[in-house]
Amino acid sequence: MDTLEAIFSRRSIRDFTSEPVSDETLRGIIQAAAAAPSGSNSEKRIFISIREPRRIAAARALAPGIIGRPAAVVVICLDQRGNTGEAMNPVDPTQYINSGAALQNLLLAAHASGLGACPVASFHTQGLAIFLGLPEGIIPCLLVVVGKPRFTPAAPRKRALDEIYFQESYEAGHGTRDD
Amino acid sequence: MERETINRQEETFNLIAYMISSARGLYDEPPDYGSFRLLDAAGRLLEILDTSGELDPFLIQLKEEIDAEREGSMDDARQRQNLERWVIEIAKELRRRAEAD
Repeated sequence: MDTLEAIFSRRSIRDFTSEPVSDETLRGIIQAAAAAPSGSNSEKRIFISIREPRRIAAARALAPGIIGRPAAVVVICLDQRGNTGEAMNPVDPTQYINSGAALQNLLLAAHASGLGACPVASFHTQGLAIFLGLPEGIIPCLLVVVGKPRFTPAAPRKRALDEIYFQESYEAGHGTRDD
Repeated sequence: MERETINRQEETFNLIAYMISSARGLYDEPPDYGSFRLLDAAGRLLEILDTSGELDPFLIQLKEEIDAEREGSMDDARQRQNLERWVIEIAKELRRRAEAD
């Protein structure tokens, strides 16, 4: 599967079969996530995978956004250890951009591996940190559920490109330049 | 069919009905009600489990505290504080149980 094919055929998957995901496959997917860019190549991200079914059930209890029963849950964490000043700011956008880039790599790598995945933002941050035994400075940012899709959903409705894409400036509208 | 079994089945059905009714009702009610409805559902489920002696010490304590919150005067700030505290306690208990396995 080439990159653009992966991007356009990916779907958010929340309904999974009972088929497990191997450690090797999951490791490959997380390696792809870790290859994502980060500000100053800081790589201030930690990934934690959960595959043991009872621990997934416990994570579900702290993450109402996990609707189905995935084979694995990946927790993308901010790594603020050693940060000072603005980098400690919990709303510093760079940290979330870094996590978002890793998320997209992870979603695409899962899809390219024949799996489905979906990001989950609804969880209790501190509760999950306690359950995972995270030290101070490592903060859960996003969860990703992963597993073998039970079915492939239809493509969601997307806004037309002309609604969201403007060239040179917003005021210039959708016209092309005379190059 | 024994009386307790009938009660449990009935109460379970009633709980499901309550949750679905609440889900529907919340479209027309203040959004703030959602948190209390969920808390109330947890309290009702704990009642069902209690009638069949299925509560362990952790859940017995939790039930007492939730009942006090449900039955007390409505206080959003207090409810939120209690919910935050309960999630932390639950997370610690989940971790303890996972490590005990």
